[in-house]
Amino acid sequence: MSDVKNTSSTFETIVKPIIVLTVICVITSALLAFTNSVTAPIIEAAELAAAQAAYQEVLPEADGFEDLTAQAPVEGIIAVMKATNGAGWCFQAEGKGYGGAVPVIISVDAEGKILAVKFMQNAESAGFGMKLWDGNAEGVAFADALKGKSGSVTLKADGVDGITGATISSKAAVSAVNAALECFAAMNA
Amino acid sequence: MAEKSKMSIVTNGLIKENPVLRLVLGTCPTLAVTTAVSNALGMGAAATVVLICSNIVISALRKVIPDKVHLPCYITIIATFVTLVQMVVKAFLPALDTALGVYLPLIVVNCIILGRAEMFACKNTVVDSALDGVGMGIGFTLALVGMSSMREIIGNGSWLGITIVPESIDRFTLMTSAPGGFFSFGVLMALVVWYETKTNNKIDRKIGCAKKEEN
Repeated sequence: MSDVKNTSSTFETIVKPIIVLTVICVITSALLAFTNSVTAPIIEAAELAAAQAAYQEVLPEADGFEDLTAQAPVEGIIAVMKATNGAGWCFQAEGKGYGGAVPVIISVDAEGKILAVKFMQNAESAGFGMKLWDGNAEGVAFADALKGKSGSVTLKADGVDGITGATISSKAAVSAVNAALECFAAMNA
Repeated sequence: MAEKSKMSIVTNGLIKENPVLRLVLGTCPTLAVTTAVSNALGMGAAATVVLICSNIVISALRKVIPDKVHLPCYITIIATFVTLVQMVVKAFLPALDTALGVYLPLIVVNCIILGRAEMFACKNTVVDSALDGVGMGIGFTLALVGMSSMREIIGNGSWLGITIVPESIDRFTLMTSAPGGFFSFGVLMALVVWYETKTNNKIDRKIGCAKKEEN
Protein backbone atom coordinates (compact mmCIF):
# COMPACT_ATOMS: atom_id res chain seq x y z
CA MET A 1 0.00 0.00 0.00
CA SER A 2 1.25 3.47 -0.76
CA ASP A 3 2.16 5.72 2.12
CA VAL A 4 0.44 8.70 0.60
CA LYS A 5 -3.22 8.18 1.20
CA ASN A 6 -5.90 10.19 -0.45
CA THR A 7 -7.94 10.58 2.70
CA SER A 8 -10.77 12.41 1.02
CA SER A 9 -11.59 9.68 -1.43
CA THR A 10 -14.76 7.78 -0.81
CA PHE A 11 -12.96 4.52 -1.25
CA GLU A 12 -10.43 5.16 1.52
CA THR A 13 -12.86 6.58 4.06
CA ILE A 14 -15.98 4.55 3.52
CA VAL A 15 -15.58 1.56 1.26
CA LYS A 16 -12.23 0.23 2.43
CA PRO A 17 -13.06 0.07 6.17
CA ILE A 18 -16.24 -1.81 5.35
CA ILE A 19 -14.44 -4.26 3.11
CA VAL A 20 -11.60 -4.89 5.59
CA LEU A 21 -13.93 -5.40 8.54
CA THR A 22 -16.20 -7.67 6.51
CA VAL A 23 -13.31 -9.78 5.29
CA ILE A 24 -11.93 -10.12 8.83
CA CYS A 25 -15.35 -11.12 10.15
CA VAL A 26 -15.84 -13.70 7.39
CA ILE A 27 -12.44 -15.26 8.01
CA THR A 28 -12.85 -15.36 11.78
CA SER A 29 -16.36 -16.82 11.48
CA ALA A 30 -15.03 -19.57 9.23
CA LEU A 31 -12.28 -20.33 11.75
CA LEU A 32 -14.76 -20.47 14.61
CA ALA A 33 -17.20 -22.64 12.69
CA PHE A 34 -14.43 -25.08 11.88
CA THR A 35 -13.14 -25.28 15.48
CA ASN A 36 -16.65 -25.63 16.79
CA SER A 37 -17.36 -28.52 14.46
CA VAL A 38 -14.27 -30.27 15.81
CA THR A 39 -14.71 -29.56 19.52
CA ALA A 40 -18.51 -29.63 19.94
CA PRO A 41 -18.87 -33.44 19.80
CA ILE A 42 -15.92 -33.87 22.19
CA ILE A 43 -17.41 -31.38 24.66
CA GLU A 44 -20.81 -33.05 24.48
CA ALA A 45 -19.34 -36.51 25.01
CA ALA A 46 -17.23 -35.29 27.93
CA GLU A 47 -20.21 -33.65 29.63
CA LEU A 48 -22.31 -36.76 29.18
CA ALA A 49 -19.52 -38.97 30.49
CA ALA A 50 -18.99 -36.69 33.50
CA ALA A 51 -22.68 -36.81 34.35
CA GLN A 52 -22.80 -40.59 33.92
CA ALA A 53 -19.72 -40.99 36.10
CA ALA A 54 -21.29 -38.84 38.80
CA TYR A 55 -24.47 -40.94 38.77
CA GLN A 56 -22.44 -44.13 38.77
CA GLU A 57 -20.47 -42.81 41.75
CA VAL A 58 -23.53 -42.28 43.94
CA LEU A 59 -25.23 -45.47 42.74
CA PRO A 60 -22.49 -47.99 41.91
CA GLU A 61 -24.91 -50.91 41.74
CA ALA A 62 -26.68 -49.50 38.69
CA ASP A 63 -25.74 -50.98 35.33
CA GLY A 64 -27.26 -48.15 33.33
CA PHE A 65 -29.65 -45.27 33.62
CA GLU A 66 -32.97 -44.35 32.14
CA ASP A 67 -33.43 -40.61 31.76
CA LEU A 68 -36.77 -39.61 33.26
CA THR A 69 -35.98 -35.90 33.62
CA ALA A 70 -38.85 -34.89 31.36
CA GLN A 71 -41.38 -36.38 33.79
CA ALA A 72 -40.05 -34.61 36.90
CA PRO A 73 -42.99 -32.86 38.56
CA VAL A 74 -40.94 -30.80 41.03
CA GLU A 75 -39.07 -27.55 40.39
CA GLY A 76 -35.34 -27.34 41.01
CA ILE A 77 -34.70 -30.79 39.59
CA ILE A 78 -32.03 -30.87 36.89
CA ALA A 79 -32.01 -34.56 36.10
CA VAL A 80 -33.80 -37.72 37.13
CA MET A 81 -32.12 -41.01 36.35
CA LYS A 82 -33.63 -44.38 37.14
CA ALA A 83 -31.29 -47.35 37.30
CA THR A 84 -32.31 -49.84 34.64
CA ASN A 85 -31.70 -52.76 36.97
CA GLY A 86 -33.89 -51.26 39.70
CA ALA A 87 -31.00 -50.48 42.07
CA GLY A 88 -32.49 -47.08 42.77
CA TRP A 89 -32.81 -43.55 41.48
CA CYS A 90 -30.43 -40.67 41.02
CA PHE A 91 -31.45 -37.06 41.18
CA GLN A 92 -29.55 -33.95 40.35
CA ALA A 93 -31.10 -30.96 42.06
CA GLU A 94 -30.16 -27.38 42.80
CA GLY A 95 -30.70 -25.05 45.71
CA LYS A 96 -30.08 -21.34 45.64
CA GLY A 97 -26.91 -20.57 47.57
CA TYR A 98 -24.80 -17.53 48.33
CA GLY A 99 -22.97 -17.49 45.01
CA GLY A 100 -25.52 -19.00 42.65
CA ALA A 101 -26.82 -22.52 42.31
CA VAL A 102 -25.66 -25.27 44.65
CA PRO A 103 -25.99 -28.48 42.65
CA VAL A 104 -26.31 -31.80 44.46
CA ILE A 105 -26.52 -35.35 43.17
CA ILE A 106 -28.22 -37.86 45.41
CA SER A 107 -29.11 -41.49 45.02
CA VAL A 108 -32.05 -43.16 46.75
CA ASP A 109 -33.03 -46.81 46.93
CA ALA A 110 -36.40 -48.12 45.78
CA GLU A 111 -37.96 -47.14 49.15
CA GLY A 112 -36.77 -43.54 48.93
CA LYS A 113 -33.95 -43.83 51.47
CA ILE A 114 -30.85 -41.77 50.64
CA LEU A 115 -27.93 -43.98 49.67
CA ALA A 116 -25.35 -41.34 48.89
CA VAL A 117 -25.04 -37.59 48.47
CA LYS A 118 -22.51 -35.83 46.30
CA PHE A 119 -22.16 -32.06 46.38
CA MET A 120 -21.03 -30.82 43.01
CA GLN A 121 -18.78 -27.89 42.24
CA ASN A 122 -20.38 -24.58 43.13
CA ALA A 123 -19.36 -20.96 43.33
CA GLU A 124 -19.84 -20.51 47.08
CA SER A 125 -17.24 -18.62 49.12
CA ALA A 126 -13.92 -20.38 49.59
CA GLY A 127 -13.51 -21.59 53.14
CA PHE A 128 -17.26 -21.62 53.67
CA GLY A 129 -19.76 -23.06 51.20
CA MET A 130 -16.91 -24.38 49.08
CA LYS A 131 -16.24 -26.90 51.85
CA LEU A 132 -19.21 -28.80 50.42
CA TRP A 133 -17.20 -30.05 47.46
CA ASP A 134 -13.51 -29.30 47.99
CA GLY A 135 -12.91 -32.47 50.02
CA ASN A 136 -13.06 -30.74 53.41
CA ALA A 137 -13.96 -33.04 56.34
CA GLU A 138 -17.03 -30.94 57.17
CA GLY A 139 -18.46 -31.40 53.70
CA VAL A 140 -17.86 -35.14 53.82
CA ALA A 141 -19.50 -35.34 57.27
CA PHE A 142 -22.48 -33.34 55.97
CA ALA A 143 -22.93 -35.76 53.08
CA ASP A 144 -22.58 -38.75 55.40
CA ALA A 145 -25.15 -37.33 57.82
CA LEU A 146 -27.71 -37.21 55.00
CA LYS A 147 -27.32 -40.92 54.25
CA GLY A 148 -30.25 -43.08 55.29
CA LYS A 149 -32.67 -40.17 55.56
CA SER A 150 -35.98 -40.26 53.73
CA GLY A 151 -39.12 -38.18 53.32
CA SER A 152 -37.58 -34.81 54.05
CA VAL A 153 -34.49 -33.45 55.75
CA THR A 154 -34.19 -30.59 58.22
CA LEU A 155 -30.98 -28.68 58.80
CA LYS A 156 -29.71 -28.69 62.42
CA ALA A 157 -31.72 -31.83 63.25
CA ASP A 158 -31.01 -35.56 63.30
CA GLY A 159 -27.27 -35.01 63.06
CA VAL A 160 -27.50 -32.95 59.88
CA ASP A 161 -25.36 -30.03 61.00
CA GLY A 162 -24.34 -28.55 57.67
CA ILE A 163 -21.19 -26.48 57.31
CA THR A 164 -20.20 -24.15 60.13
CA GLY A 165 -20.43 -20.54 59.04
CA ALA A 166 -22.03 -21.46 55.73
CA THR A 167 -25.69 -21.51 56.68
CA ILE A 168 -26.92 -20.26 53.32
CA SER A 169 -24.94 -22.86 51.38
CA SER A 170 -26.02 -25.60 53.77
CA LYS A 171 -29.65 -24.57 53.45
CA ALA A 172 -29.31 -24.57 49.67
CA ALA A 173 -27.89 -28.09 49.75
CA VAL A 174 -30.66 -29.31 52.06
CA SER A 175 -33.34 -27.72 49.89
CA ALA A 176 -31.87 -29.46 46.85
CA VAL A 177 -31.95 -32.79 48.70
CA ASN A 178 -35.54 -32.16 49.76
CA ALA A 179 -36.53 -31.30 46.19
CA ALA A 180 -35.06 -34.61 45.09
CA LEU A 181 -36.86 -36.56 47.83
CA GLU A 182 -40.12 -34.79 47.01
CA CYS A 183 -39.61 -35.59 43.35
CA PHE A 184 -39.03 -39.23 44.21
CA ALA A 185 -42.21 -39.33 46.28
CA ALA A 186 -44.23 -37.67 43.52
CA MET A 187 -42.94 -40.00 40.83
CA ASN A 188 -43.55 -43.09 42.92
CA ALA A 189 -46.95 -42.11 44.25
CA MET B 1 10.97 3.56 16.66
CA ALA B 2 14.49 2.89 17.88
CA GLU B 3 15.74 -0.65 17.48
CA LYS B 4 15.19 -2.46 20.74
CA SER B 5 16.92 -5.68 21.62
CA LYS B 6 14.62 -8.65 21.31
CA MET B 7 15.41 -9.69 24.85
CA SER B 8 14.45 -6.35 26.34
CA ILE B 9 11.04 -6.61 24.68
CA VAL B 10 10.42 -9.84 26.54
CA THR B 11 11.83 -8.74 29.91
CA ASN B 12 9.96 -5.46 29.64
CA GLY B 13 6.73 -7.19 30.58
CA LEU B 14 8.13 -8.98 33.61
CA ILE B 15 8.60 -6.16 36.11
CA LYS B 16 9.32 -2.86 34.42
CA GLU B 17 6.06 -2.79 32.53
CA ASN B 18 4.30 -5.64 34.26
CA PRO B 19 0.79 -5.47 32.79
CA VAL B 20 -0.99 -6.00 36.10
CA LEU B 21 1.29 -4.31 38.60
CA ARG B 22 2.69 -1.42 36.59
CA LEU B 23 0.29 -0.82 33.71
CA VAL B 24 -2.68 -1.79 35.93
CA LEU B 25 -4.49 -3.53 33.13
CA GLY B 26 -6.82 -6.50 33.43
CA THR B 27 -7.46 -6.06 37.14
CA CYS B 28 -10.93 -7.61 37.09
CA PRO B 29 -9.86 -11.16 36.15
CA THR B 30 -6.77 -10.66 38.30
CA LEU B 31 -8.82 -10.09 41.43
CA ALA B 32 -11.32 -12.76 40.51
CA VAL B 33 -9.23 -15.81 39.65
CA THR B 34 -6.36 -15.43 42.13
CA THR B 35 -8.06 -17.43 44.87
CA ALA B 36 -5.95 -20.48 43.98
CA VAL B 37 -2.56 -20.88 42.35
CA SER B 38 -3.84 -23.49 39.90
CA ASN B 39 -6.48 -21.05 38.60
CA ALA B 40 -3.85 -18.33 38.27
CA LEU B 41 -1.62 -20.59 36.17
CA GLY B 42 -4.53 -21.62 33.94
CA MET B 43 -5.72 -18.06 33.48
CA GLY B 44 -2.17 -16.88 32.81
CA ALA B 45 -1.60 -19.56 30.19
CA ALA B 46 -4.92 -18.93 28.45
CA ALA B 47 -4.40 -15.17 28.38
CA THR B 48 -0.80 -15.59 27.16
CA VAL B 49 -1.89 -17.75 24.23
CA VAL B 50 -4.54 -15.22 23.24
CA LEU B 51 -2.14 -12.34 23.71
CA ILE B 52 0.59 -13.84 21.53
CA CYS B 53 -1.82 -14.86 18.76
CA SER B 54 -3.69 -11.56 18.69
CA ASN B 55 -0.43 -9.56 18.79
CA ILE B 56 0.92 -11.53 15.83
CA VAL B 57 -2.22 -11.16 13.73
CA ILE B 58 -2.78 -7.52 14.57
CA SER B 59 0.80 -6.54 13.80
CA ALA B 60 0.66 -8.52 10.55
CA LEU B 61 -2.49 -6.65 9.56
CA ARG B 62 -1.40 -3.26 10.92
CA LYS B 63 -0.97 -1.79 7.43
CA VAL B 64 -4.21 -3.25 6.12
CA ILE B 65 -6.59 -2.23 8.88
CA PRO B 66 -7.88 1.31 8.35
CA ASP B 67 -7.79 3.63 11.39
CA LYS B 68 -11.53 4.17 11.28
CA VAL B 69 -12.35 0.58 12.05
CA HIS B 70 -9.25 -0.47 13.94
CA LEU B 71 -11.06 -1.10 17.23
CA PRO B 72 -13.81 -3.31 15.77
CA CYS B 73 -11.14 -5.19 13.83
CA TYR B 74 -9.00 -5.74 16.94
CA ILE B 75 -11.97 -6.84 19.01
CA THR B 76 -13.10 -9.27 16.32
CA ILE B 77 -9.64 -10.80 16.12
CA ILE B 78 -9.23 -10.99 19.90
CA ALA B 79 -12.72 -12.40 20.42
CA THR B 80 -12.03 -15.07 17.83
CA PHE B 81 -8.88 -16.24 19.57
CA VAL B 82 -10.57 -16.21 22.96
CA THR B 83 -13.45 -18.28 21.64
CA LEU B 84 -11.02 -20.70 20.01
CA VAL B 85 -9.10 -21.08 23.28
CA GLN B 86 -12.35 -21.50 25.16
CA MET B 87 -13.59 -24.26 22.87
CA VAL B 88 -10.27 -26.08 23.02
CA VAL B 89 -10.07 -25.78 26.82
CA LYS B 90 -13.67 -26.99 27.16
CA ALA B 91 -12.96 -29.98 24.95
CA PHE B 92 -9.60 -31.05 26.34
CA LEU B 93 -9.25 -29.49 29.82
CA PRO B 94 -12.80 -29.42 31.24
CA ALA B 95 -11.53 -29.05 34.83
CA LEU B 96 -9.75 -25.80 33.95
CA ASP B 97 -12.88 -24.58 32.20
CA THR B 98 -14.99 -25.01 35.34
CA ALA B 99 -12.30 -23.39 37.49
CA LEU B 100 -12.00 -20.30 35.30
CA GLY B 101 -15.71 -20.11 34.65
CA VAL B 102 -16.92 -16.87 33.17
CA TYR B 103 -13.43 -15.32 33.31
CA LEU B 104 -12.25 -17.39 30.37
CA PRO B 105 -14.65 -15.82 27.83
CA LEU B 106 -14.03 -12.49 29.55
CA ILE B 107 -10.42 -12.53 28.31
CA VAL B 108 -12.00 -10.77 25.31
CA VAL B 109 -12.40 -7.62 27.35
CA ASN B 110 -9.16 -8.07 29.27
CA CYS B 111 -7.51 -4.69 28.80
CA ILE B 112 -4.05 -6.23 28.60
CA ILE B 113 -4.79 -7.71 25.21
CA LEU B 114 -6.45 -4.72 23.63
CA GLY B 115 -3.94 -2.50 25.44
CA ARG B 116 -0.97 -4.28 23.89
CA ALA B 117 -2.67 -4.28 20.50
CA GLU B 118 -3.05 -0.50 20.75
CA MET B 119 0.27 0.30 22.37
CA PHE B 120 2.59 -2.20 20.76
CA ALA B 121 1.31 -4.53 18.06
CA CYS B 122 -0.11 -1.76 15.87
CA LYS B 123 3.31 -0.18 15.35
CA ASN B 124 5.84 -3.01 15.61
CA THR B 125 6.90 -5.95 13.50
CA VAL B 126 5.36 -9.38 13.82
CA VAL B 127 8.37 -10.88 15.64
CA ASP B 128 8.61 -8.01 18.13
CA SER B 129 4.89 -8.17 18.78
CA ALA B 130 5.03 -11.90 19.39
CA LEU B 131 7.89 -11.36 21.86
CA ASP B 132 5.93 -8.58 23.53
CA GLY B 133 3.04 -11.01 23.86
CA VAL B 134 5.33 -13.59 25.46
CA GLY B 135 6.77 -11.06 27.93
CA MET B 136 3.44 -9.54 28.84
CA GLY B 137 1.90 -12.99 29.16
CA ILE B 138 4.64 -14.15 31.51
CA GLY B 139 4.38 -10.92 33.47
CA PHE B 140 0.63 -11.38 33.79
CA THR B 141 1.07 -14.98 34.89
CA LEU B 142 3.79 -14.03 37.41
CA ALA B 143 1.61 -11.35 38.95
CA LEU B 144 -1.33 -13.75 39.16
CA VAL B 145 0.80 -16.49 40.72
CA GLY B 146 2.27 -14.01 43.22
CA MET B 147 -1.16 -12.80 44.27
CA SER B 148 -2.73 -16.22 44.39
CA SER B 149 0.19 -17.66 46.38
CA MET B 150 -0.33 -15.00 49.00
CA ARG B 151 -4.07 -15.58 49.05
CA GLU B 152 -3.99 -19.36 48.95
CA ILE B 153 -1.30 -19.74 51.63
CA ILE B 154 -2.83 -17.27 54.07
CA GLY B 155 -6.46 -17.96 53.25
CA ASN B 156 -6.43 -21.69 52.71
CA GLY B 157 -3.09 -22.85 54.09
CA SER B 158 -2.08 -24.50 50.85
CA TRP B 159 -0.07 -23.84 47.71
CA LEU B 160 -1.11 -25.35 44.40
CA GLY B 161 -3.50 -27.54 46.39
CA ILE B 162 -0.82 -28.93 48.72
CA THR B 163 -1.40 -28.14 52.38
CA ILE B 164 1.67 -26.41 53.80
CA VAL B 165 0.27 -24.69 56.87
CA PRO B 166 -0.68 -27.14 59.63
CA GLU B 167 -4.41 -27.55 60.23
CA SER B 168 -3.98 -26.37 63.83
CA ILE B 169 -3.37 -22.82 62.62
CA ASP B 170 -6.58 -21.01 61.77
CA ARG B 171 -7.04 -19.89 58.18
CA PHE B 172 -7.56 -16.21 57.51
CA THR B 173 -10.31 -16.87 55.02
CA LEU B 174 -10.87 -13.21 54.27
CA MET B 175 -7.82 -13.48 52.02
CA THR B 176 -9.67 -15.75 49.61
CA SER B 177 -12.61 -13.36 49.26
CA ALA B 178 -12.66 -9.98 47.57
CA PRO B 179 -10.96 -7.85 50.29
CA GLY B 180 -7.98 -10.22 50.32
CA GLY B 181 -7.69 -9.78 46.58
CA PHE B 182 -7.38 -6.02 46.88
CA PHE B 183 -4.99 -6.37 49.80
CA SER B 184 -2.58 -8.72 48.05
CA PHE B 185 -2.86 -6.65 44.86
CA GLY B 186 -1.82 -3.54 46.78
CA VAL B 187 1.04 -5.28 48.57
CA LEU B 188 2.50 -6.65 45.33
CA MET B 189 2.08 -3.34 43.56
CA ALA B 190 3.86 -1.54 46.39
CA LEU B 191 6.68 -4.10 46.22
CA VAL B 192 7.21 -3.44 42.54
CA VAL B 193 7.19 0.32 43.02
CA TRP B 194 9.62 -0.04 45.94
CA TYR B 195 11.91 -2.16 43.77
CA GLU B 196 11.74 0.45 41.05
CA THR B 197 12.68 3.33 43.39
CA LYS B 198 15.33 1.21 45.10
CA THR B 199 17.08 0.39 41.84
CA ASN B 200 16.69 3.99 40.74
CA ASN B 201 15.11 2.72 37.60
CA LYS B 202 12.19 5.07 37.17
CA ILE B 203 10.75 4.90 33.69
CA ASP B 204 8.63 7.30 31.76
CA ARG B 205 5.26 5.75 31.18
CA LYS B 206 4.15 5.56 27.62
CA ILE B 207 0.65 6.83 27.32
CA GLY B 208 -2.05 6.05 24.84
CA CYS B 209 -2.01 4.86 21.31
CA ALA B 210 0.44 5.04 18.46
CA LYS B 211 -0.85 8.15 16.79
CA LYS B 212 0.05 10.53 19.61
CA GLU B 213 3.61 9.33 19.81
CA GLU B 214 4.24 9.59 16.12
CA ASN B 215 3.20 13.23 15.93
